Amino acid sequence: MDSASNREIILDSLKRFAIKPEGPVKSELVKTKIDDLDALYESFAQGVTAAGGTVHRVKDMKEALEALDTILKELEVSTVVISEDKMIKLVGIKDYLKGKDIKILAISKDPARHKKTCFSADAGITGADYALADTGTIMIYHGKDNARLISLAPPTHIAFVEADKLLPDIDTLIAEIKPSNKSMPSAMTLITGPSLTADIALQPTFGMHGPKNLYVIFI
Amino acid sequence: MNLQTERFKEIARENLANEEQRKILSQFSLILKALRDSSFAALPDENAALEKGRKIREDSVKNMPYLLETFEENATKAGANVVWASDARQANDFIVSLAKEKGANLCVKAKSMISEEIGLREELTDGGIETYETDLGEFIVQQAGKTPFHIVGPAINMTIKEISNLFNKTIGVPKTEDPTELAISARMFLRDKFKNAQIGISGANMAVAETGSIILVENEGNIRFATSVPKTHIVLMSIEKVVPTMSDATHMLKLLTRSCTGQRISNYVSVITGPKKAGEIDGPEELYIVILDNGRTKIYSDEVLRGALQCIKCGMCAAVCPVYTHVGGYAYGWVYSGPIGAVLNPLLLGLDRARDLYHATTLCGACKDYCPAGVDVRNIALDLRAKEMDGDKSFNASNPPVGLKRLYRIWTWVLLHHSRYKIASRLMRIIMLPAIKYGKISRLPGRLSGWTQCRDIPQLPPKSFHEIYSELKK
Repeated sequence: MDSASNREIILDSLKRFAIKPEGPVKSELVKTKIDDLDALYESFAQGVTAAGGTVHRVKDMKEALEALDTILKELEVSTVVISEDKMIKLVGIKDYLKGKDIKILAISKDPARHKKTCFSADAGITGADYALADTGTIMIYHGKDNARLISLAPPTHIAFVEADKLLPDIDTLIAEIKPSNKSMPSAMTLITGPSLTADIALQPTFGMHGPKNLYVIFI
Repeated sequence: MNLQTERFKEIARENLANEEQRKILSQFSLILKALRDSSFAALPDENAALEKGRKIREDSVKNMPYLLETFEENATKAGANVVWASDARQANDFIVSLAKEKGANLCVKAKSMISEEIGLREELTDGGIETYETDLGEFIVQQAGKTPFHIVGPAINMTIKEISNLFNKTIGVPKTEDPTELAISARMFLRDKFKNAQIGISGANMAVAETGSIILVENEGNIRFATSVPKTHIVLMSIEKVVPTMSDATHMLKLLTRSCTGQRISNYVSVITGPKKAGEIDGPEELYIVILDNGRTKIYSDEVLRGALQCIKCGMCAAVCPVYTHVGGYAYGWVYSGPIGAVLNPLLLGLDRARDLYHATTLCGACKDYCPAGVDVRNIALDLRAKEMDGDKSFNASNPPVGLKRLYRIWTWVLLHHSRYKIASRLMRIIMLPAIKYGKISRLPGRLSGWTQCRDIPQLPPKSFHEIYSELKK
């Protein structure tokens, strides 16, 4: 197959009939206007819950750790894999869990071992970079310090997000991150609730391939 | 994929007789429509949002070649290998030989209509690469050796019992009536495949020119696995998937998930820009993006027909279509079902091979009203019918029956002039008279009997509007 000549043929034949539009499609949409954190949080929590997830709103890092403890106990989690992002360090999760009866599976730089770790852990703990109020979504930039499988392979995903990262909706998110070729991470994931399927007789089932449980700890 | 578009009438008749399936279909469409409506109502201004989405798709299609160039440039900058394929053969050959080159023997696939269109899974399997569909619905369809029943819900027509028997036979799990248990069986089976696959294949819901990103929409997490674990990720996308900016893409995303499943957003949305970067532990080492034409540039050359390329494959048109909700997805005989399939299948395969599809529409236009991408299926279907009658062979239209063609010619001649029309309608009143019973004709003789098989022809009133009007004027 000659990709370069295919390219030329495809683009040339399209260009014969293409019409350049006058400009970007302008939006005359009503913007959601909520500045009040409580109202935003209410909407966020509703969204997460409607999608099958659970939210804990906490005042500070100390309460965040307590909330984590409760969740881990409730689910009888014995092994966790933890990302290395800012949020995780800020909350001090690793130090806190060291004193507990929970085994932290070390993150390996070796892809094969990393895969094994994530597929075997009971829970994955990560930070989230943003939260969207109107849909109850968290957004994660995957990268060096927040590997993709931590929030995907274990049956439970626990995510920490700070209140100042809560935005009204996806439009505000795009305005905030100003996407460009350079600024985009290799993968960015929007997560709304745990993994879901309704492919068998339209019956909703959680934990199809990804986590069965999603907990968001909102600080 | 087994092509059955020429058997539309036969399969439609078979499926119409399937009471159980018709029950599922009508429930499915009612539920989906209700979910769709309430999710749209939650938008600040649903009509403005729909309008904006339609404009975005219209402009994206109009500007397609230039957007593709920008997309290619940015995707390449991000480290992706962009490859152009003209037809199914080329795309299949490229992907199979790439997989072999990588020494792969196991491949996990995300749900993708374009891969169904070119029969990629079968090609990979024939090439000795074990390939699994990982979306639960598609997995069931693959295990059953069937074709997808619906664009979004490929196995919605199958009962729990059928799926239980199937899984028992193919993956050897105990029979159960519990859908959750069935889902868990599939999860366990496929987790092993995710862990060991060397190749992950996905489609693309959208390709963003501005950033060179691919957007993938799902609920299950199988796409996240397929694009995160294997060393090589291959994206197969058709040329019309490109949109200008990330903000256009996220606007379409709002409309897509609402129209697909009535969700405000799907559980997972992945935005992928290039392969993994230096220092990252997981993610593919290589990302290939295969941009495929497969007959679309030809559709593009026709001003009316190119509207079909605006489609974002949400499947909403099927749920509101009076034809689809009765005959179901199999009758369309190929990858695309429902109203969009009724025009896209003929356009991609040739009109002669799928003639019944664009004739089997009621022209009610519900598909257009609900379409978030501004596709006017009714108009396209009419255009295809006209091409057939005009003997326009650009899309391989078959020759219409001679009698029918003559009838249309007379019909046109009569309707084109007022006086001819007047005489004809007076004549009709008289001709109809002997056949009328209780104010209508319930049965026409001979070859015309098809018309009255499911409907009556009302008697023409004694006077036309024009006659009454001119009498009153006096």
